[in-house]
Parts: sequence; structure tokens; C-alpha cells
Amino acid sequence: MWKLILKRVLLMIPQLLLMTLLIFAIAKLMPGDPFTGRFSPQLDLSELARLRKEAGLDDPWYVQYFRWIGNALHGHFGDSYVLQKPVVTLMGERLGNTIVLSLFTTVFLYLFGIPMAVASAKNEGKFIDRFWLTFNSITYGVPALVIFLFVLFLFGYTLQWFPTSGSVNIDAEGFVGIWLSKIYHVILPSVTIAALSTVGIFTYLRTGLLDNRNQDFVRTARAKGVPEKQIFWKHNFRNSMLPIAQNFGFQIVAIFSGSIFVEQIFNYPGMGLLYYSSISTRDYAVITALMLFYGFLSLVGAVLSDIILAWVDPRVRIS
Amino acid sequence: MTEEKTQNDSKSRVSFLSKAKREFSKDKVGLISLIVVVSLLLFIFIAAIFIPTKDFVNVNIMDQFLTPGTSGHILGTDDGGRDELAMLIVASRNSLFISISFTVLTTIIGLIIGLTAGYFGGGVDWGIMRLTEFLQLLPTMMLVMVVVTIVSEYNAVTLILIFTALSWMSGVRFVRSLTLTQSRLDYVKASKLSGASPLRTMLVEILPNLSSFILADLTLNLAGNIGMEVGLSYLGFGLPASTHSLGTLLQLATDPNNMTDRLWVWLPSAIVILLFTIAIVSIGQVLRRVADQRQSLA
Repeated sequence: MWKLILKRVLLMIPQLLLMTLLIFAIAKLMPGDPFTGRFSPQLDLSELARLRKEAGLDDPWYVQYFRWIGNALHGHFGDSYVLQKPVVTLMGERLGNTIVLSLFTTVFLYLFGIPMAVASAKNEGKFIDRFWLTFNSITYGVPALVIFLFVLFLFGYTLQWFPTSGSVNIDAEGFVGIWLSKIYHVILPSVTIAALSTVGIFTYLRTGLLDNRNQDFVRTARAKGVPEKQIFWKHNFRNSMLPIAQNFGFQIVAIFSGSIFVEQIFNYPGMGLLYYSSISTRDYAVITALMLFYGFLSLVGAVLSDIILAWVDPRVRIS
Repeated sequence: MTEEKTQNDSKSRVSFLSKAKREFSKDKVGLISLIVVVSLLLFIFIAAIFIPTKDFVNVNIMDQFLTPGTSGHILGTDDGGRDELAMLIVASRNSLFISISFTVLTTIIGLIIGLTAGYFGGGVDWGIMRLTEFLQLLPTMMLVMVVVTIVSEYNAVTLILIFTALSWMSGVRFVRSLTLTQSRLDYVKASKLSGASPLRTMLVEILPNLSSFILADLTLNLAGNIGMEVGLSYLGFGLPASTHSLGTLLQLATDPNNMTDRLWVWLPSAIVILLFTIAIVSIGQVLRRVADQRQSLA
């Protein structure tokens, strides 16, 4: 098991190298540099050239690339020239919010998706099954942002059950109060995203449950006289959950990087909104750091998925 | 075994069109969706020709936010006093043009690369699949946003090319797995043995057997791609600001006043998007049943 994890993590190194090279190339293509924000009528152009040289912007690209990697490893991502703050501080402020939102979304997602698939598979071909199949094909096709707008319009503005922007109420006091307010702010967006993203879990689990019904291990259990309830949960369900477990890493990453729209529409100050606003203000240091963050996250998600698979499925460990 | 084989043979001789006809007649929702999509497409693309450019370009502040029905504006006017209906038609045309061409392009690329990987297998397959897997890990949406920002001069065609360059990977895996199953079948071996070139085997022998699957996949992808176009132009990273798309019309909803009091500026485009995507998905599901007759309702 440890050997497998080590092997998988080592495989990440070439991927990481390729990804950082790509992001570095994009960053170099972006107009402007860390000193663009200091332009002013009083500025001496030769002074600017000296600053650029000192910062190493005249070095060959591979020197710059390795310096950039080295800085990133030490947590130095430069300063945001729009907000005049270190990028790390900015990201730190937003990361917490996005984690809270993603965490709630993930919990709701599995809370909705798994019972849906179980209900469907148990009633194959009946009304409940057709209902959830239709529901999932609609949520698969419809762009989430249109639904976000409807939800915001209905529950946010018209019924006024939930807040329409922000991540915490400024009046909230005390540890419990602040957290209750935070949770209150993420409920509407997280429930909406979760309800719209069940299609993957639903399809995999439903198909798995239906296929495994006729597998040898289920027939053997039935022949031995194992009660139906136990056959379903201990034999069929557990095996059908394997692809769901394996997909967990990708799912988390999808939720994290899918947050741009939700955060923009619900005006929720997380990483996605930071990315959106830094692109709008051409804040390149922030954009580069966020691309690196999301890129790294997706690599970790893929590794996590493989490790989970090896952990839950002994067959993978042996081969 | 032989009996099963002859059955399969006679089944595959039934033409695609007659299978499609049978499936659509069994699925009323699919049939209605097909009629809705085809007639809406015809209406949008024909009506857009007759709308004078000034109707959706000229700004007239005096006519700002007219309610639907006033002074000849059936769906009212937007923040620039432009006729909503004219804008909606032109925006739908732009959005659909981009999403359709983008879908067709990514499908073609997916076909070429997927067929190559599945047919040759071995090292070629390994290399292509590792590259595809890696590229799929990249956050596509974010990269599109950045690239659109870097490329300062762009139009609909460049936008389609940027989309395609960053998301052609999705179709590869699907085509590859289909090709792999086909490659094991006897007819492919026969074609190879008879001395046909790889290109001929791929295009003349394998491709026709995949076509119905690919058509179904293309239709289902179109719905997702409409969403992607709408999303990017909603955020302001789609078409240049002067060109309207369903996403730019939706953008007006970001103003809380528009959202609650001036429903007519954003609701019609939201409804058009919902109508199109839901209808396209149900057509796609019928086509999938046509391709995979085991799921047939008929």
C-alpha cells in the first residue's frame, strides 16, 4: 500500500513540472510585470529598468522559471499590485470561505446523490426511478448559472429566506454567532450546487446497483440464505460504492474550481470571486498564483482518487 | 451462437433513419423536443437576417427599460433602450453559432485522436492517453478566461478556436474506448488481413459503426457547450462586448434592481437557454437509444 502511494506521488512530479511550465508560459505572455502598478508621471524610466534588472526580469526564461518555482515553494507569490497586499495574505483570507462552501456542498452532494440512486435502483422502471432519471438528465444539461439566478431570485430576493451576498453577517458576534451566520450564508449556494451536480454519483451508483444484482457474489449470498436486506447493503451496495469512492478526489476538485459562478452570482468572497476580480483588474500576480493553486489541487485530487481506490479495493493493491 | 450472430446482422441492416424514426415515435418528449429545437433554430437563424443592425447596436437612453408591450417593443427594452426581442434573436444566433461550431470541432478532433489511439494501441495509445489525462486535469474554465484576456484582438472564430484548443480532450476517451471494442471484432481483422491501409480501416470500416454513438454524444455535449458559452459571456469572457450573446443578456440580472423589478431584461434569455438545453438533452437521449439498441423503448 505504501509502495503504491509512493509510486503514485512520484508520478505527480513530471505532471507538476509540465503544469508549472505551462502556467509560467501563460504568466510570461500576460502583459505587464510586478512594477506596472508603479507607473506615474514622476517615475524615471531608467529607474524602472534598474528595478526590473534587480528583480531578475532580464534573466533567461529558465533562470526565471526556477526562481519562480523556488519562491513558490517558500510561499512567495509576490504582491497584488491592485490591492497592494502579498498574494498569500489575499488567498488566505478567501481560502477559508471557499473551504466552508465546498465542504457543505460535498456533504449535501453525497446526501442527495446516494439515496437518489438507491431509491431509483430499488424501484427500477417505476415512477420514482423515471423521476430521478429525468431530474438528473435535466440537471446534466441545464447550465448551472441559470438555475443559480432563479434560486437567488426566488429564495434570496422574493421570499428573502436567505442572504443574497457576502459570507458572514457584520452584526454577528461571538464564535457561535459568527459560525451560525457563515453557515446561513452558504446553505443556499451549497444546496443548489449539490442538487445540480448529482448526475455523476447517481448514474454510477444506479448502474452499479443494477449490474451487481446479477453477479455471482450476490447469487451466492442469496443461495446461502443471507437476508435480502443484508444482501443489498453488505454485498451489493458496498461493491457499487467503489466507483463513487474512487471519484471522490475529482469531485472535490470539481466543486472547488466550479465555484467561480456561484461565488460571482451569490457575491460570496471566496477564491473563485478573487480569480474573477483579479482577471477583471488584470492583477497578474494573483492570477498566476491562483492558477498554480488550482492546478496543484487538481493533481492532488487525481492522486487522492487513486489512493482511495487502492485503499477500498484490495484487488488494485495486489496487482 | 450462430443464431445470435445472424440476428445481430439483420438488426444492424436496419437503417439509422428508420431506427431513429421508431425511437422518436416511442418517446413523445423527444419528438416534441426535436420539433421545438428545429423550428426554433430555423426561426432564429432566418429572423436574424432580417433584423437591421441598428436595432441592437444603437443606444437610445430615452427608451431605457420600457416595459413589455409599450411603443411596439413586444418584450420591452434594455438599459440601452434596445428592443429585447431583436436582441434575444441575435444573441441566440450568436450563442448557438459558437456552441454548435465548437461542438463539431471538438468532436472531429476527438474522433481523429481517439481513432488513432484505439486503432494502433500500444505505445501510441499510452502516449496519447497520458497527455489527454494530464490536459483534462487543467482547470479549463480558468484557462479560457486567462487566454481570452491575453489575446487582446479576438472575434467569434478566435473564440471558438480558444475553446477548442483547451477542451478537445473530452471526446478522445469516449471514441478511443469505442474503437478498442471494435478493433477486436472480426471485420476489422478481416480488413487488416485483406491489406487495407490503417486509414481505410479506420475511416471506411470502423467509423461508420461508431457514427450513431458519436451523433448521440455530440448532441449531449452541445447542451453542455451552450452552458459553457453562456457562462463565459456572462462573466464577460465570451464574445467582445459589442456582440450580444445569451450570456451577456443574462448579465443584466447582476443588478438587483433588474433582477427583481425588471424581469423582462433577463428572464427571456434564461428561458431560451433552459428550453434549448433541456430539449437538446432529451433528443440526445433518444439518439443514444438509437445507437445502443439494448436500451431501446421500441
